[in-house]
Amino acid sequence: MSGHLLTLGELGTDGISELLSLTDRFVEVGRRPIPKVPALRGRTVATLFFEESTRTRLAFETAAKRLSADVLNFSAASSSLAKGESLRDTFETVQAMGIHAAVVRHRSAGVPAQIARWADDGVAIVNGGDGWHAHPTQGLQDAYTLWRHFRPAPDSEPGAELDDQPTLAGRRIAIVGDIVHSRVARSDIEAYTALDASIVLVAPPTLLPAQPREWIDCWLPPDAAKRVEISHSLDDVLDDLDVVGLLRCQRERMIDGLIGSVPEYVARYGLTAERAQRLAPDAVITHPGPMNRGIEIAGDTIEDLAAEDRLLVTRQVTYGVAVRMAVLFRLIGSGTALGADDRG
Amino acid sequence: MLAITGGEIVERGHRRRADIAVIDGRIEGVHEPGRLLSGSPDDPDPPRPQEQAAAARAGDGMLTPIEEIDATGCVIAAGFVDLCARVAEPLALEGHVMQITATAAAMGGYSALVAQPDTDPPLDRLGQLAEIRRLAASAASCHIVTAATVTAGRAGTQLAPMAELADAGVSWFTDTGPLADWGLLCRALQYASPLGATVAVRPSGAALGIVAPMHEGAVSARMGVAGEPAEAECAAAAAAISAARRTGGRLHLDRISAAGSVELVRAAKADGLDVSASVTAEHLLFVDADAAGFDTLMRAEPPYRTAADREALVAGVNDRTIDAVVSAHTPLPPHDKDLPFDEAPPGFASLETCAAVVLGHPEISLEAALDALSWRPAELAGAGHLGGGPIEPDQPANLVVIDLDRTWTLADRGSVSKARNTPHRSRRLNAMVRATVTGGRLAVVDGAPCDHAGTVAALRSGIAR
Repeated sequence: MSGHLLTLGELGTDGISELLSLTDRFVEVGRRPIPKVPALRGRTVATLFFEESTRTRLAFETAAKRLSADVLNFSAASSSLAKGESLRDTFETVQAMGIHAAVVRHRSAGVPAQIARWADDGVAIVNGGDGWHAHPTQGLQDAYTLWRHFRPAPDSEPGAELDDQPTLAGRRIAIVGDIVHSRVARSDIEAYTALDASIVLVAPPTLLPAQPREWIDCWLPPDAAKRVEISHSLDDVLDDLDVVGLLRCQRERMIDGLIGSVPEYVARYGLTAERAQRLAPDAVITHPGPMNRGIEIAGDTIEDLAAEDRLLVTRQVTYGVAVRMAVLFRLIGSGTALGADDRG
Repeated sequence: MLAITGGEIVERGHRRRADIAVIDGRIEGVHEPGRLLSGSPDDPDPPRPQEQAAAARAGDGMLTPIEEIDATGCVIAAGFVDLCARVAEPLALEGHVMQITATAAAMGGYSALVAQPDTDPPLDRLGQLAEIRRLAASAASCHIVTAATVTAGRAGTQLAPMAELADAGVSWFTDTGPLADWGLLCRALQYASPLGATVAVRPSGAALGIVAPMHEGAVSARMGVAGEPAEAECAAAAAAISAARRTGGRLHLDRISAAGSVELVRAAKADGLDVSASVTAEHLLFVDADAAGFDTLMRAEPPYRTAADREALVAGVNDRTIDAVVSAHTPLPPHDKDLPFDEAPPGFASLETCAAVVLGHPEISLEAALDALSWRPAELAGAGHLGGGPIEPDQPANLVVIDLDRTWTLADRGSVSKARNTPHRSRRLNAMVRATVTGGRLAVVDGAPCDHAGTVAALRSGIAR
């Protein structure tokens, strides 16, 4: 792993597997009576959120605190121009306070990559979500949630070492919704294909990049690209799915003229009760949250699937903290000190 | 007198080795090599005419000092003409902007540039023209030709007083961007036609309501950045060409970037339309994938497109479908490129590198490069007396001396402009402008700006090769 986490593609299969195995250990830490380890004592993690996000910020902050790091929170209006200060000025000001890692979230794609170029040696940049580009920690938490769900011994002994590298080989995962504007979709695609899953992207053409096949083929390694299909019909692909990954549907997309109407979208791409019925009985549902009831997924379907423990949304959130602990530990940890915090 | 000796003069269709004498702003003569300056002692020739002229000028029978440029191994061509440059300079005091821009242009081999009128306020009336010309006259290193806007205030709604401006000598009209209103573009072309003026538009997706920081394709999809499809530019180009067809007007398509646009221009020319086109030097080098790391220096207007587009642009320059390579010089303050990719303004400071990029481009022939940098833009702008003209006796002396074997980087040489928004800072450039003569005066010698007060002394210390 390089000094930063900007996209999952940079990590490759080995890097992703390593982080998932590490996440396993932090899930175990999270179950302790005092879920805190001194791994990052004396380290400072800044959260630079140029775009507001309560969930992601809380997950990172909790992760940093459970590792005993100090946390600096920085919020800024997302338009740097409005403040008359360049992005670089803003970052360098925070960096000058003495930080070891910065979690950067921005509405503009590429900002974490730009900031990584301006960072001093020894300052790790973590992409906390940039525009439509990438959200690697979300991709990791989704991949971890699925891997953990599907692995042969889902609740092996806490802290037990696993024999095998994490893999989702043979699993067929649909990613449904607004793919072109989704950083989550891009990071999920990188994570799932790296773990040998097959993917089918399901969306109307207006919610996919203009030439989706070319996009996939130019982006992913050849063996991964050939495991990604593109479909404009959820009904066509429903039968043999292991996972339905729903994306959040933004109402503004309708105003932008990308879909005709919400009912039209729901009729073709929503997880309705009828579609849920057609799914394999052990198929599971993911969603990065918050869910739009009645749009991506029907309200009563949520209850039914939750009752059958097939809706993994809450687990995604729980594992989100452990994943971010793994990322921070891997980037700025000393590599030791995973034991319980003896000083409480 | 200024003597340029030992070089090879390259003009359209012919090359010759000759020495050039320049007196009083004009080419006094073009002479056989070695015969211009005091040659071998056994040379029986009587005093040469240019020496007589110089002596006459000196008025006391003494020869005036001779400035000599040793152009051995170099190409001598007519001074370059840039159809699209912004006269601007970050961090400069207002009065110095013209001088710095002119000096930067001369460093790039330009003896004339067409200043874009997208100033604040835009140049759309006579009063501003006089003021800008007054400032331009103080910048001797490069002739600054003023263009004016097509529409009042660049607002795209009503025509600027084009006839009045044309009477005052303006022959190039552009809003430095798209003209979304097709009917207005037709009227502008009609109106400009009897004035002998050119209307330049940049075909851009903006004319169709599409504004995006980069080319739409596999790279923009991976980056999660909105894209402008090449087809949007082509649609805008086709609309503008249709307006030229409808009106018979003289249209220039400013900075095309898509293979489809090259094809449209080729077809328009085959149909006999008065349509010309330009491209930036950077578009002959870079593609959308060069922006994959979110490098804001790779944000350009129009955006860099695919490898196939780039190849079509190079082919278009070589077969003269594309008439001119422009600098599109846009110097920016340093912090402007330290913004998010989609917020950072596009553009590059390029006057000092543009010609070197084209002349050193491995896929572009020397004659095609000189056509695009010098001869053809001079014809289009009606600026043959300021650059790009014939190298013959009595012609205004606008000349450039180019070393095609000299590699250099901007980082090593330093730049006149204080702007740092160039993708060439550390890129190796394969051709160097060694000297520029503007209106008979040396503006650049040995790749350095020429201080006229100290010129002769500097020259006497020798031009190191």
